Amino acid sequence: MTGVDVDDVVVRLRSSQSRALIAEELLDILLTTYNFSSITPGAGGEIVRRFVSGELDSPETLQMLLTLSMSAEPDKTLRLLRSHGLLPAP
Amino acid sequence: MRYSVEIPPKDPVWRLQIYAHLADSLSFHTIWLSDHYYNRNIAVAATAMSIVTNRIRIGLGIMSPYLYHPALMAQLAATLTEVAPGRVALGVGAGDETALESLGIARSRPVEKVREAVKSVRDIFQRGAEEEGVGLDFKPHGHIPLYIAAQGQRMLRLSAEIGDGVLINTSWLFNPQKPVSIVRDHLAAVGRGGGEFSAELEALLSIHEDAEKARKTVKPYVGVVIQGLSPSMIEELGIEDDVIRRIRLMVRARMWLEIHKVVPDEMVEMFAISGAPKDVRRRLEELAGVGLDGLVLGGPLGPTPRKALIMLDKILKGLSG
Repeated sequence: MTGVDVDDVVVRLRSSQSRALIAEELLDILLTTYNFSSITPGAGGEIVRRFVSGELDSPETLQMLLTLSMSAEPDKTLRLLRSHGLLPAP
Repeated sequence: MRYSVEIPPKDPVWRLQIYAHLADSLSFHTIWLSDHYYNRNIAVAATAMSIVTNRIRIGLGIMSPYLYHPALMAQLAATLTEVAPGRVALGVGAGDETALESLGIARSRPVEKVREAVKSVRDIFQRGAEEEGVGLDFKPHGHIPLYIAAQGQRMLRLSAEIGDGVLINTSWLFNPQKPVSIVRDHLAAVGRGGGEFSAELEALLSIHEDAEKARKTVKPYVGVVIQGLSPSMIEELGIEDDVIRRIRLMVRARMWLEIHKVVPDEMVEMFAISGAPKDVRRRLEELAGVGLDGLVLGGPLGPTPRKALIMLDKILKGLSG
């Protein structure tokens, strides 16, 4: 729908100096969205587990956050990725 | 001065756990969980938050004796100490009249109702399993301080008489010295030293680099405060009947995304701490000098609560340092 290859973005995210900050910003999108149905209790529980264990910016967590964020708030997520130079401007 | 946060369980449990874990890693003293039937259940939320925290105290409340029998309040708090030993507090208060009305419950004789409930809960905590009367078959792990939520003068005095602390309603934010002196005077009158009592003010707060965003975010919470004001306070503050009526209609219909349209900006200044970090810092500095033992920063905290907690922590460390 958005034409964004999540795997490709995650590869670029892994080598980004800002990946911890981007992970937090993706988390903020998920913490504030009103699109509650896009985050199942199971996915929410997994985010908590990774947040508590300090794995928020691991490649697996980034992939999960990005996938959920694209589903919940595609426009906000695209703006975030563009602001960090991970996607070209439209 | 101890600084705590109130995290209303209006969000899914996983979000509450994120906020709790973060608050635990910062400098906050207690997380208070407000209790509204339309939000997530306080017992489930408190348990989930306790599991992801190690240090921070978990405050149950405010719990209303119109909704919960004192034995159930005592049971909940005591059980929670098995997950969070030595770090549970219980707040008892009459509760919001509009919310009780919507459940068909009349809030009659609130001061007497709270007095009886607090006395009963305390008795239950102290009573051994073998003793006669309502009691628990187990002991809580650690002392559970009993706070009383108070807005009116009689409830404030009751808190000084029988509470371990008071949570002064956020509606006093415009004039916090008054409830503090009522409480302090009554503590002296009943022969209690201030050292065994904690006078804490609840304050709605919303912080964001964009002050207007912060203000808009806190407006629904300010609306809930305004609709719960006593008639004497409404008169004292000169709030127009029409403003109250429109806000009450929206709160009753739970139109949270629309309510900001009917809450005037000047009411936000009166009943909330809202704005950019420098604005919030200024208000917190003012409140540090009014004789409180603690401040419970609550409501939305900001458009982005995770960032708000971190910003607040930085400000508070600057204040105490």
